[in-house]
Amino acid sequence: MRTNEIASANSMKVQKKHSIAHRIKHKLITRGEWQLYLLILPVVVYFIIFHYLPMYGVQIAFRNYSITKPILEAKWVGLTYFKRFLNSPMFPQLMKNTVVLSFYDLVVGFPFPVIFAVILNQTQSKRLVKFTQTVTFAPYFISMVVLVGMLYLFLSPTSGIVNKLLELFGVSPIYFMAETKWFRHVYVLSHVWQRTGYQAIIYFAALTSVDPGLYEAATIDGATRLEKIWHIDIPSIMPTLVTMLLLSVGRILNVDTQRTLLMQVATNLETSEIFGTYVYKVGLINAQFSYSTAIDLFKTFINLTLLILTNFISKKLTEESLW
Amino acid sequence: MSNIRAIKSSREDAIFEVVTKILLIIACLIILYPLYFIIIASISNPDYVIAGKLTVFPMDVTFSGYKKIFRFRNLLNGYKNSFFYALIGGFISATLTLFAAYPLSKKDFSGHKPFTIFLLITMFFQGGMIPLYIVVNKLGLRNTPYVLLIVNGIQVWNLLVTSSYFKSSHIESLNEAAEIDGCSHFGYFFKILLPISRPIIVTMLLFYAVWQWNDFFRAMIYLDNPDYQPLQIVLKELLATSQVSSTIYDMMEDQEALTEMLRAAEQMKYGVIVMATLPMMVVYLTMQKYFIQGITMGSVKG
Repeated sequence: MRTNEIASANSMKVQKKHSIAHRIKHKLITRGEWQLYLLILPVVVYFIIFHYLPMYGVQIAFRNYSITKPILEAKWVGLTYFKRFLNSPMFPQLMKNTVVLSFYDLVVGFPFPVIFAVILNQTQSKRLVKFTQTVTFAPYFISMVVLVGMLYLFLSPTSGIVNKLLELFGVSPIYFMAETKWFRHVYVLSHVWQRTGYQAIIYFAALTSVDPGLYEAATIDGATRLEKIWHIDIPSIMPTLVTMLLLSVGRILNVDTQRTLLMQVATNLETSEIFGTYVYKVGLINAQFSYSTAIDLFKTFINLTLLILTNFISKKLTEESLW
Repeated sequence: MSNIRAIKSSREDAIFEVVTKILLIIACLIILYPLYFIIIASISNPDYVIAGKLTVFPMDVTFSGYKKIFRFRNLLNGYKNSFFYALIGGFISATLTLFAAYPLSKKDFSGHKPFTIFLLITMFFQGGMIPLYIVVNKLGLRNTPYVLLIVNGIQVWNLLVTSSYFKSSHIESLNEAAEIDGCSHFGYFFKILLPISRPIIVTMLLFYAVWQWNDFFRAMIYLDNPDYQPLQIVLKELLATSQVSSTIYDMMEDQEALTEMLRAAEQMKYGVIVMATLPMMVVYLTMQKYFIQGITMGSVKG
């Protein structure tokens, strides 16, 4: 072992004298780094093809692209498509729908898992805690298609159990899945139902790693349960909380396109048409590739700006940051 | 004084405990009742379900809905395809993720920083739907069974989780010992690291497989051929509509009257939900600890 160390120390001294080419050779061959490069190679190639090539392809937003010709042969049109989008009546509608839906989802959806994790952590009966955790995590494994299918069944105006229940109170059937004004509520509440248990896992893990001595000390000081929650639980999950909040804000225009698309019907478009669904329709249904990419790029640009901005503010205020 | 406070706080504790217990039980009921309802609705006479009479117990039990479902070829084909995508896709994705996560976990690897940045960029900036579609199209992958195995097959988040697992202290020290003994990277990775990394291997397999099973959007974009459609696309035609879909119509025998069709369609929808979700629920309940582990590992890394 000793000799090994001396040898490596010697080789380091020698290495300094060598040129860069030698150093690279030393790392790759002598230290066997080529093996590490080989292990990561498939993933790197994969990302070049399926992530970086599309990034290169983003330039079709500035060109009049058609699928029959190579990208570079398409005519450069500059910001034409962006201007067209910003001047179209769809722009304010998409902006409003996306932001309102996202914000509503965030405001309602964010506190639930935090509160739920705190309650779980405060409950003494470990069996009940375990059982509740198992049950509430389960909806995460239900696919989006099935979940929306369940909504159509339960909320049906003729045979749905929810409307049958409302009927008992003399309420006439509500077209939950068709009416403009119900789309956002159904979206957000079903999201809460599906994700709360899953999201709570992260907070719960942060809470269970709290030093039990802190609670004991607080008990001796005569602290009430609520005081313990306020002074021990909340501060201990604060870093996780801020990170999650930052990530959510950075995704404000990335509301779940797939979920929305499944819940979208002709009669609720007024509130359910969002950036993602519109990009899909313009691009893949109407085959307006350049226009669709321009809208998509505009969305990505706003998202990135928001992420950088919120991260900057958070760094100043709480010293929590994503990078 | 402190005595009074202690008594007060212990009484408060008792009330608090009751309240939290009640809240947890309510949470469980809110999750469980809809799931339970679907199961009993799938085996009850549809007349009771449509009339809103079904509440706690199945009524006039019948398995005619399931019998109809098992005769439906598209659904069974979708089932078969989804098993293929989940098993093979899960295996390929998990393997490549593990391969790449090891170099990423080594801080003294000369490619550590460049590759990490290379991968992280894609988390915040993507080419978007159409540019990716063009690439997939140009590669001739559209309408092939491989497209779902490949597109989005490697997820950066999973790479980060796996590499943070490889960085954990008990593994790190093992790596140092192996290096001192002159073990090669391949030797260490395949003979030492993988055999002791069962938890992360299982977690990755599960994450990718569940995601493959439940995803529908990529199939909607890249697949038209009904032969390759995954289960979720078949389900989408069946379920994600308030009307009786044409797919359901096809499933009925011609002689069945319209009212009878509506009756049966309702019951079949419940049955289809049970069939589509059951495999994932079984996987979840038997492998729960791996899922929780995977999620919390990711959050520790942040």
